[in-house]
Amino acid sequence: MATSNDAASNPMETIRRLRDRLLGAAGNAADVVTGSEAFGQTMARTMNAAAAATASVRSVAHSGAEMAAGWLNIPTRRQLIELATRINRIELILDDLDVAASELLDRLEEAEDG
Amino acid sequence: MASRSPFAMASAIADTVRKPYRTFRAISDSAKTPVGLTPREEIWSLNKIKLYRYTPTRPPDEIHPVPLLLVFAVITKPFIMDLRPGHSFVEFMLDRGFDVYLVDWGAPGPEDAGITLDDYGAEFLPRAIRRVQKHAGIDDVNLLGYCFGSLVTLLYAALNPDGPARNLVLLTPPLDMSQRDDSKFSVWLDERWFDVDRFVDNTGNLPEFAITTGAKLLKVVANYIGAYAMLWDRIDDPDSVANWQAMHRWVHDGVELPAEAFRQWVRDYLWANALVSGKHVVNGQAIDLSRIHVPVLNVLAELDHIVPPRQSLGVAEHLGSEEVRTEVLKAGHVGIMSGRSAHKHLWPTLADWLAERSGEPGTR
Repeated sequence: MATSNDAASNPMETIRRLRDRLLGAAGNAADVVTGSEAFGQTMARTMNAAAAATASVRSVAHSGAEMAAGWLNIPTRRQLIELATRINRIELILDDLDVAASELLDRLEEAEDG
Repeated sequence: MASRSPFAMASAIADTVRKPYRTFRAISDSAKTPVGLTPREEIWSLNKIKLYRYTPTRPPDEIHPVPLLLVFAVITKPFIMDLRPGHSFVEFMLDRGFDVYLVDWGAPGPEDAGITLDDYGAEFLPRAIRRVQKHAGIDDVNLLGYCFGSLVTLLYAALNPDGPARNLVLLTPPLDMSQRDDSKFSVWLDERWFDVDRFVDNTGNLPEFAITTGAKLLKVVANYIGAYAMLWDRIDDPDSVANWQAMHRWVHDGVELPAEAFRQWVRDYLWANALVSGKHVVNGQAIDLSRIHVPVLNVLAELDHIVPPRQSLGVAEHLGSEEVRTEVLKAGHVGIMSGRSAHKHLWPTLADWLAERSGEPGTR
């Protein structure tokens, strides 16, 4: 941290201290504002409105992309997501199988050793 | 008034003139700053999830038999626990003789939108734990959950009260949401004005920028101005600059939160306070935290504005553990793990507490 000697030799130190005080005061004021119900309502309503506004654009974009994918005979985004979701489920089953097979091998090794 | 020599003044002014360039350079380079450098090996993966084992730095006869699994939050990347050499919690724990594993939840894609918070605790964490058990060759595992990770850890422990968790370390667990006036998230996402279903149905996964922006808005002046002022002040100290860059990278290098995880957190955890009310059901099993009986170290950050301390204080009250030690540290939510004094306060506290409960070194 800065000392009084620093402050004496460095003219910027005074400005820095003023800055810190200003930031501290602004931070406290901002805390009051952002913690208020009015700010919360404004924020939430903005998010609600943005979600509603983008929904129609997103819907048009998705149906347009699906139509284009159909013409080009390539999978749509929705189909790819469904496929990836199925692969994820299969991966869970494979993980269980892997563990079961590993346990079986361990028991066989134990039996052989015994 | 002290006299100022012209040379000293000129030097100070010249230094100030050079500072903006160096500061901007430090900010722009932060995305490239190396992080998470402690050597590790990936021992398992599932979908985007990866399980790592860090290379031990102590000989086997100095390592505690019970391994430590780090369970970080699902909304950010876990390299905050292994920030940079000399400032790494993982490095510290390795040096203190722990066998350290880390589960990295990865970055969910649109195909992961259906993953809930419960899935992390009931589906994914058990799989990671059984891999740790297999790899370490021991049944018991110490679990350390941080933020959302401690929520996932608690879910897991409540669903598996008979083990294999030997000890739980909970860092800033967002457990009890009944004190809403403490938390800005509770105010912003109040059910009276926030329509979570409309939001999630339209946006899908919660975007990374929304998480980052939301977290930064909690302390808007400190995060948008103060952080850069701090860099400006410390630009002549290479170690401070490197630390700042690593932190800046972590803050801005986030991941999405799966849509259903966000919906569930808001509806069940934030609004209904389901975890402590006993009304939460996972896979047909009611979550009853009083079934958890293992020793717990609950660490709170006194200056935490993301998880206000009152959300975490009730751990001893809700858990069935006879031994719950609560530590309140004078730090913020992130500073508790990565601040300049973390290696003096949090890290030794955790290591000492775990060392007493993780078996004699070299007895695995």
